[in-house]
Amino acid sequence: MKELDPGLKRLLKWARAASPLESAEAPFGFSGRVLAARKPARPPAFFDELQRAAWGLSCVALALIVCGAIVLVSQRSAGPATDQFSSALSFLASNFPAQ
Amino acid sequence: MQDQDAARSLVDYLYPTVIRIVRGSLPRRAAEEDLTQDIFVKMFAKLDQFAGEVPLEHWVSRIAVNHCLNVVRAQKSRPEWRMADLSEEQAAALAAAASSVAENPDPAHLIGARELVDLLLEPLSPEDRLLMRLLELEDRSVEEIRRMTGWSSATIRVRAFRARRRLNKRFEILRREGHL
Repeated sequence: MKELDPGLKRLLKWARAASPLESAEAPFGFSGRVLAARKPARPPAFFDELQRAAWGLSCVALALIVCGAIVLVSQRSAGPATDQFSSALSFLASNFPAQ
Repeated sequence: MQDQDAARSLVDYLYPTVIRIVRGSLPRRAAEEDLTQDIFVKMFAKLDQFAGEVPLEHWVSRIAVNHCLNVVRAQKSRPEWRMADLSEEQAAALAAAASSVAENPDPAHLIGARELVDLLLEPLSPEDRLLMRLLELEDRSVEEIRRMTGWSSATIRVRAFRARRRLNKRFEILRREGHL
C-alpha cells in the first residue's frame, strides 16, 4: 500500500493522540428511545384481508376451471355412446332400405 | 416485557460497535446520536433477515456502514479550502508536522492536528474517508475492516492506495502554500 508523507503521518499520529477518550457506552435512556422509535407490528389492515380473500377466491375459481376442463377432455376422448350408434343405424335403415 | 428487556440488552451490547462506525463516518459530530438511533431502528426492522451466517456484530456493522455512507453521500459537499482558511492552531500544527524536528508537539498542536486531519479527509469520498479513519486513526487491520464493511481485501487495499495518494497530494499543496 502507498506510504503516507512523513509529515502527514506525524499529523495523523497527533490527531490520534488528541482524540478524546469518548465514551462508547450508550447514553442513559438511549435504548428506551430506540425501542420507542421501533415501528410496532402492524395489525392486519382491511385492505390486506380483502386482498387475501380475493386471492383465495381466485384460487378456487382456477381449480373449478381446471376440473371442468379435465371432465370435458375425458368426455371427448371416451368416444360416442352406443345408444347414439343404434339410433344412427335405425335412421339409415329407414331412409336407405337395403337393395 | 421479556422481549423489551432483550431488545434493551441488545442495544447496550451493540452500541460501542455502532457508535465507533458513526463517529468514524461523520465529518461532524452534531447528529451522531440520531444517526445511531436510526441504525438501531433499521437493525430491528431487519432482524428477521439475520441468518446467523456471520456474527451479529459484523452484520450490524455492515448495516451501520451502509447507513452512514448513504447519509454522508446525501450531504452537500463543502467548498475547497486553502491555507489562508486555516485557523492559527491548524496552521501551527501543519508547520510543526511539516518540520521533521517536532516529535513532541505542544498540546495546542494536537487539537490543531485533529482539526486539520478532519479538513484533509473532508474532500475524500465517504468510503475513502471512513477507510482512512479506520486505518490511520483507529489502527484497524485490513481484515477487521473487511469484516466490518463487507468490502473485499483487494478493494480495501486499492481504496487505501488512492486515498493516501490524494491525502499526500493535498498535504503537499498545503505545505507549498504555507511555504513550509
